[in-house]
Amino acid sequence: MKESVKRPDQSITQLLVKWGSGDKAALDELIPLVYDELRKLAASYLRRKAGPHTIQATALVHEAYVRLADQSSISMENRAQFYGLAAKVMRDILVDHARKRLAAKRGGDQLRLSLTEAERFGHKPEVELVALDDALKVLAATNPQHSRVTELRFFGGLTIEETAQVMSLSHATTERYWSFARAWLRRELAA
Amino acid sequence: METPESMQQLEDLFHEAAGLGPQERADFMARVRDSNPALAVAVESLISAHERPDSLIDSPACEAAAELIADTQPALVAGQVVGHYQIVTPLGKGGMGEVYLASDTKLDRKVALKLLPAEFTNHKDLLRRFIQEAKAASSLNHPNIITIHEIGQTDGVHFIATEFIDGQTLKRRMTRARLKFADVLDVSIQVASALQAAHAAGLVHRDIKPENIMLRPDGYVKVLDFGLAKLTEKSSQSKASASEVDTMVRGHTKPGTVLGTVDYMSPEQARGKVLDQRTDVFSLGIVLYEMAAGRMPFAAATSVDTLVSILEKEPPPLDEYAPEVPAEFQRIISKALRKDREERYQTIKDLLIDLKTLKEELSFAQKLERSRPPRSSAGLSIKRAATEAPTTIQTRVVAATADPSALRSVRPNRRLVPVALVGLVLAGLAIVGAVLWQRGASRPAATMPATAVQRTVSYWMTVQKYRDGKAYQDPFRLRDDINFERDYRIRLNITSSQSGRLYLLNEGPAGADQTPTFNVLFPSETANNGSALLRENQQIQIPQQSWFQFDEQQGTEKIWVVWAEKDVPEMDAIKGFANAKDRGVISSPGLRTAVNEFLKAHSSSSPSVERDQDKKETIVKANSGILVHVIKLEHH
Repeated sequence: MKESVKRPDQSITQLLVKWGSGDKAALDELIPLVYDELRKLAASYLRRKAGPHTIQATALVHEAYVRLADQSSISMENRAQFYGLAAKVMRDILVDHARKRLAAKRGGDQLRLSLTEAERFGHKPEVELVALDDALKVLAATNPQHSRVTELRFFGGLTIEETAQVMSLSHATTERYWSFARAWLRRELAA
Repeated sequence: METPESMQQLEDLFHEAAGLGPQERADFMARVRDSNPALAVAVESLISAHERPDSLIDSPACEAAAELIADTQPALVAGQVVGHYQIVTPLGKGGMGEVYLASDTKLDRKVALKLLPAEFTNHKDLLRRFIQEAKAASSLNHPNIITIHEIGQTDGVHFIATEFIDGQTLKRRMTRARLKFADVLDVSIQVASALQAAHAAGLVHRDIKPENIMLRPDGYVKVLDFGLAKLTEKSSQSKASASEVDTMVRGHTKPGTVLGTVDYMSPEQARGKVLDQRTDVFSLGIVLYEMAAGRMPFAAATSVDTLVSILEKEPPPLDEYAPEVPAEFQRIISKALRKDREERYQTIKDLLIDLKTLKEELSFAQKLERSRPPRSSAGLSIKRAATEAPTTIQTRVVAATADPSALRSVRPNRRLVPVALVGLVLAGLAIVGAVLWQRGASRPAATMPATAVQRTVSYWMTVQKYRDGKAYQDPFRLRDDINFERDYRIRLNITSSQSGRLYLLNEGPAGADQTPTFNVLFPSETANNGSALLRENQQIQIPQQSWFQFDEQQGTEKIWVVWAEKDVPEMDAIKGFANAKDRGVISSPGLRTAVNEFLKAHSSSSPSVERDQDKKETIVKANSGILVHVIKLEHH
């Protein structure tokens, strides 16, 4: 009976390997798979919202990874790549949705709202997410590394260690980047 | 506009300032201000943002993800007109399309208007059969079956107008808190009565699940959506709507596979066989189990696994999750959940009779119990909901030790939370199997020799109510017991009148080595800059900016408070795990054991515990230089 629950792990793993060796087309195939999985996970996450202890928030990308990739035949390098990719896709999914929803709610533009207006995260995540995405873009203009660390930590839910691995940075540097980026973004979001 | 260079400078100054203590930082900032005032302002704003983790970025994106992705826009808005119904507001989205609260302009009454999605109405045959069934359902006149006012069509939109039930679905009710057993029985009987009436009219529901059961505040239970399931079953090859996709068998939509949740399916339904009324017996059995146990009997990680469970596995014994439930109820459920329908209750009526008999027996036992002389008051304490609690206030008697056969029926009060165990001293009580609640106030402080220096640690809990993921009302201090709804959140505040070291640990389940796991709550990266040192009267708030939430609907959360005058090596070592990477989990088995030994050794020299009802705080006192106390949060 178990056999019927076959996951598309082979293809994902192969695609990751291909992509890792420079095959750009593999990425085009990967993205929809990752997107789909993350979307499903997010929906199921909502259904069991009873769940997460604030102390241990589950990282969706970990879950996506466990589900999609064949653990035995994938290298650490591929794993890092996958996390990097998943974080990017996650950002796209979220910000896209947020923008669409905002656009649907009011005429479209004027997305910037202050924190007080948007109240707290949880009230209007779409407002804050869009603001965060905008702020990240501003940050990326001067500090692309910081912006990438944020993407991995926040959208990808990766730990400092994993982020360091994906970015090939030292632990200390990653932590340094993250703490600065976070403070900078908090300030931007609250502004 | 910032340049990479100016940002670099800002970052360097930021890190330098962030790494300094308050005094040094002030000096440092003064120097920066002298040479470049604008830059100083920028650094200061970053530092204050750094110390105020309270924005979107501090929660994982997946929370926002879920909310955004799962949310869909309703198709109709207030004011729109469908036939002679005017939309008031969307009520929700079910498997069978959107439901709106609408006002019937002809009869001037409120109705629930359900619009059938086009993909279900495009099939003429299906539609005819569906209308036939809906008509049959509308002819049922039963207090527990929703009244159907009209089945109609306008501008190609098919709709059903039904009685509007101002209540909540059983599903929603169950996510809030466990039901008392008396309520479980009551709901069971009402649903079974509804089904009995339907079966008598030759109508099988086919989709009994908590979403289709509405609870009204006055205690009435209404079963919805008779006949609708049939439509879904036969049209599964058509395109599923977005919300249904994720409840479908992941990636394995075969022709004939049923859309919608598989959690409440009967084995014959899972196999795609022809259904009779016994399918409703099975599905109702699942609902009964879930109400009593607080979990579904067959639910598994994926739909496929769930189906396998339904077809092949026996559910875990009910008393594993609900020891208070009478054995008879367990027997009833087992009989309803027989995989072979020939072995099941053959009619819902038989099931109903058993439920009613059980109810009578229990109420008899309860009367008997009440007429007995009261037991020693030590085992009994009145649980009362605090004034802050919502309307579901409970006043009941919790019995700790009593004749189980007689009391099982009286115990359902477990459910709504009695949170905060006020001043529970670990040593003796933890061993008592039954939940023994002890009022802090009733426990006199142990007498202390007048000469001894007394160390005190005081703590209090702050509760923030949340509803649908949003905070509402102001946070308040927990007085004693409240009805702790599932998405309420808490925070622990702690202070000591002497300076010393403070460590807070969250005890988790025991691992294979019988030693519990521990999660370091304090010190942490964000609280107190990672230091365990606590100045006298310094107040610590855990978590600093966010809130704790219970991850299980049921259980006891133990938070260990360790205060020490001098360094304690075991405890000092835990700081190594108080970081985001380890997520505070003490992963070293050796340290875990050492910490466990330490806690055990010191908690036996029980400090005295007092409860200050006015200030709503608990004061722990000890004469020794080490004070160990466990805060238990009971969550039902």
